[in-house]
Amino acid sequence: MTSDDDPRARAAHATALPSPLLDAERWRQVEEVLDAALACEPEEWDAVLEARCGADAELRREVAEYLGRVSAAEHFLKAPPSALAARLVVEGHEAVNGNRYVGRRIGNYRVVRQIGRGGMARVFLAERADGQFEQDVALKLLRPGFDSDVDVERFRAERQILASLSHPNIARLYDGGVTDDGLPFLVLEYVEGEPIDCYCETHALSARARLALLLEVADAAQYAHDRSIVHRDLKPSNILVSADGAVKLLDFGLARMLEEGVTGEAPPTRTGHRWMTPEYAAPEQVRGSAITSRTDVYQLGAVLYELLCGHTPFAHRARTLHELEMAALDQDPEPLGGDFRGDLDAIILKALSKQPEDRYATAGDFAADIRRHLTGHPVRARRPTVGYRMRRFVARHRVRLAAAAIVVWVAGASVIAVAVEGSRARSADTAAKLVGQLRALPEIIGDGRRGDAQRLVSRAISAARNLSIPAESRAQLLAAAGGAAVGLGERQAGFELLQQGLVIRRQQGGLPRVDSASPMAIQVAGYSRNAMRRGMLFSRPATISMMDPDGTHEIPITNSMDSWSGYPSWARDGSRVLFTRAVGDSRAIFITTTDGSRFTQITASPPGWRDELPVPLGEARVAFLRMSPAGDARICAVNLDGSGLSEITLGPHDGDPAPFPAGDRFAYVGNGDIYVMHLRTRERTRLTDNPKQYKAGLAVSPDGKQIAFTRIDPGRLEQIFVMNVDGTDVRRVSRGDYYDFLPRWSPDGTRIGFTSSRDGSLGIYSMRLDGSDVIDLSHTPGTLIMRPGTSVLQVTETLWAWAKY
Amino acid sequence: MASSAELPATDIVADEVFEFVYEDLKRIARRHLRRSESHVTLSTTELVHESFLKLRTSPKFSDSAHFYGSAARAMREVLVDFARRLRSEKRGGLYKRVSFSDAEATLEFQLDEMLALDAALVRLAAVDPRLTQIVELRFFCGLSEQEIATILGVTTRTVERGWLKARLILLKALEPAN
Repeated sequence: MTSDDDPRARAAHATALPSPLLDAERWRQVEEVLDAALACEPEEWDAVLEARCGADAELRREVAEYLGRVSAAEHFLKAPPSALAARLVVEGHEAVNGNRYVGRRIGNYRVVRQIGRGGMARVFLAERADGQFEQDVALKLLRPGFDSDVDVERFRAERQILASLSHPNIARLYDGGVTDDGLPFLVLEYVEGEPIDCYCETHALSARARLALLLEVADAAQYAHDRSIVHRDLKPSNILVSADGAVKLLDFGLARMLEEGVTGEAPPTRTGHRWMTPEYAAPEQVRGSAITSRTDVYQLGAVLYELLCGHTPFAHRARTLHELEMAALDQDPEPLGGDFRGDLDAIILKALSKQPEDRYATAGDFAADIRRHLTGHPVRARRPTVGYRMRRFVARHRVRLAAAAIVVWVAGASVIAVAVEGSRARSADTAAKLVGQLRALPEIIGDGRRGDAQRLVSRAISAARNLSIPAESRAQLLAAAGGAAVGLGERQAGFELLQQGLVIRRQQGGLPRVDSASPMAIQVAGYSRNAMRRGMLFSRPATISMMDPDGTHEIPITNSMDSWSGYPSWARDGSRVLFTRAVGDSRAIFITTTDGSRFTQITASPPGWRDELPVPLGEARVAFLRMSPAGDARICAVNLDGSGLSEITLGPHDGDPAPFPAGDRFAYVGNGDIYVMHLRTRERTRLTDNPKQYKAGLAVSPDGKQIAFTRIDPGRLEQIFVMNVDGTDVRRVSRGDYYDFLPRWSPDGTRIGFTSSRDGSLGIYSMRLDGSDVIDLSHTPGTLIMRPGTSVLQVTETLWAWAKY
Repeated sequence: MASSAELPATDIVADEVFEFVYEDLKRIARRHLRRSESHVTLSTTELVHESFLKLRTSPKFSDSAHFYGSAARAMREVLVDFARRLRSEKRGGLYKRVSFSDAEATLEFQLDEMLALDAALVRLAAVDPRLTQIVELRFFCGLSEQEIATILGVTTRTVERGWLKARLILLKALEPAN
């Protein structure tokens, strides 16, 4: 990242110059011409400049410079600083709450002052209150929200295990318990020191000294590993160095306790339901797979990486959490190079291996290799095993091997073409030619030359494996081969190829990632799970926006008239939005941050196919509807990174996937009836028995007990109904004869938001579950502004009606 | 509504409004949070609403230009103070890595933007205080251009133009090349 891209650099710059922003006298001159130009249409600006500036070329240049920014300025400062305001609210609360504990007695300790707070806990300096002896401790109080379901027995058992850790470099766990108001707390050794990274900087330690410090950390980790305790969250802020240079590891094993040991259910952590720090998270943590001591090895590697080069392996390249996680999964860290070329690079990269089994088996092995390096012995990291080399090979040739799956069905036509590596496609030109031929494939198939078609596809796949061809060409080949394979009836293989092409294009930056936003209400799409966010998503033709649940504060998320966007829904993290958008002549699923920047394409469908209605299936997967040009529609699922696409229903006329809150089941409309399917077993239950009656727009209630949907009864318009998830107690919610559809539950499950055609136009409304108290959300003025007296209060009351969930 | 245009910073009434709003904002913030616990749906505008509505019924603050001007300035200062504190907290030592949860990243960006914007506004005020005032009312207070026009006693067109010009200047000032 250059300093130019860095907003902090800009901020620093702005504060460094307290002078007037521009010369007042000069600005008057510029302003006069600027005013004159702004009073005219852009086409006339040149003429205005000509007439007003005369020979003053400098004036003309200055005014033109401002005029050039007009369209950018229109988006600038558009959204109010609401994230900050909301945070202010939270922090104000925090400050008060923290002070509330000061002086209070918790267990045998008295709280002296708050010394920190993290994602799930507040940390206080505390002292013995029973007068037995003087001792300062750190008292860690788990946050409210945790208290719902404390498994006291388990909490105690975990505590005892952790209390058994006795190592000079690991902060001791002395005690713990549950406060009178039910909050679990831990009493830990109070450590004064600074985080290892800061310590290294402030003491300007040499690389050798940094390595020596890390060895102490690794040795301490090994001690815990010997007792089957894994840290899971090693990072500089958990590794303190005291003024005399002694290292202490904090919070050993707490991550696991927090994740599994305290409450019956997984706590809401910084990143979904996983307890980790993204910058240091190992791939298995990102994926949610098994955590072992090798996870700690990875994190030790990440910390060492940072200590030696100043940044974590991927953070400097990623701009969002998603990108960071993807990088942890897919990208090799850049070698440090320079003085560290060779052994150290090999050691760190081995520790940072994607596959746990490629890493050092223990923290002790990691430390031993660093010691070998420090003493000039050959390091083990540079003698990769056959297995290691094999795995590297697999990683490097992922496309080729994945393609092998496809070989199975092209085998009859041409195994040879696949076996001879890249033989006929040495250049981008050849690749382009192949892509052209593949696109003409329907004709070949039409001529009955199916064998030729298969050969062509297999050639394309083999060409796409040729890494000497530009990535963009390989991506095109995979996409074209995928489309062709689908055309040949090989849906699964074809879909997979298309996704591979997408992933390559994304890695190469070949896909747009930013969308400029602007406003322009038709479909209610969903309510945010995270009320820090502004609640409600909706789409107008082509664009997606969100607003507060009272119909105010509309903020555009996407804006692209020529690539029509629709069907927004919140991703499970509550901060990103899934939606669909046209890509060429097909439609694909995208995910974006709510400011409309940083968006990522998740699916790639064959030409003429449409992916619609994305909904989150747990943290990392998305269910959506994939429709063929012939009208076949099935529900598919894909991981957020574009991998693992599979069809989960059999068609031919499925739709409206609606996940249950637990993520284990989803409801859908299959061939006219409503079903519930278990994701794991694929068992399905039919809830209705009238395929001729139109049903659509399913939504499962937040408690997972009811399903809202729209139905057309004889003589009526489309109306909203609710039933129990076992199909019983079907009742009509809509009152009156309007055209009501797309029901969505409010987060508390007491109201339903929906789209309706009333007063001759479509709008967004909400109502109670008995159909009463209909509120018109979309016809309130776009931005809530101060209005005298009662109108604001009404709006405010509406807001609270929603905000009190 | 009255149409006094300039807002002398030393104005006693303005200072009173400022104090009132500043303290009230913090209090409201806490109360709202208790009410909805972790579900914070407040935005800047809502935050100031309650405070403003109450203030407006007080005859002391009948001059709406002073009132809004001071309130906008209060909002700006509350947010900037907060941003400054939060940012130094987050930065900690010499340099600190960026936190990467999406919400955090958005916030960090806003913190930086807020501080840069504030610094630029200080410098803009030296050139054209009216433009600074429009930015405060529009961005920090969330008032519409029509409302600002009424408050300042100018035409909506003038406010629209001023808002655009202010953004043009700020945009240029905040661009990396400058």
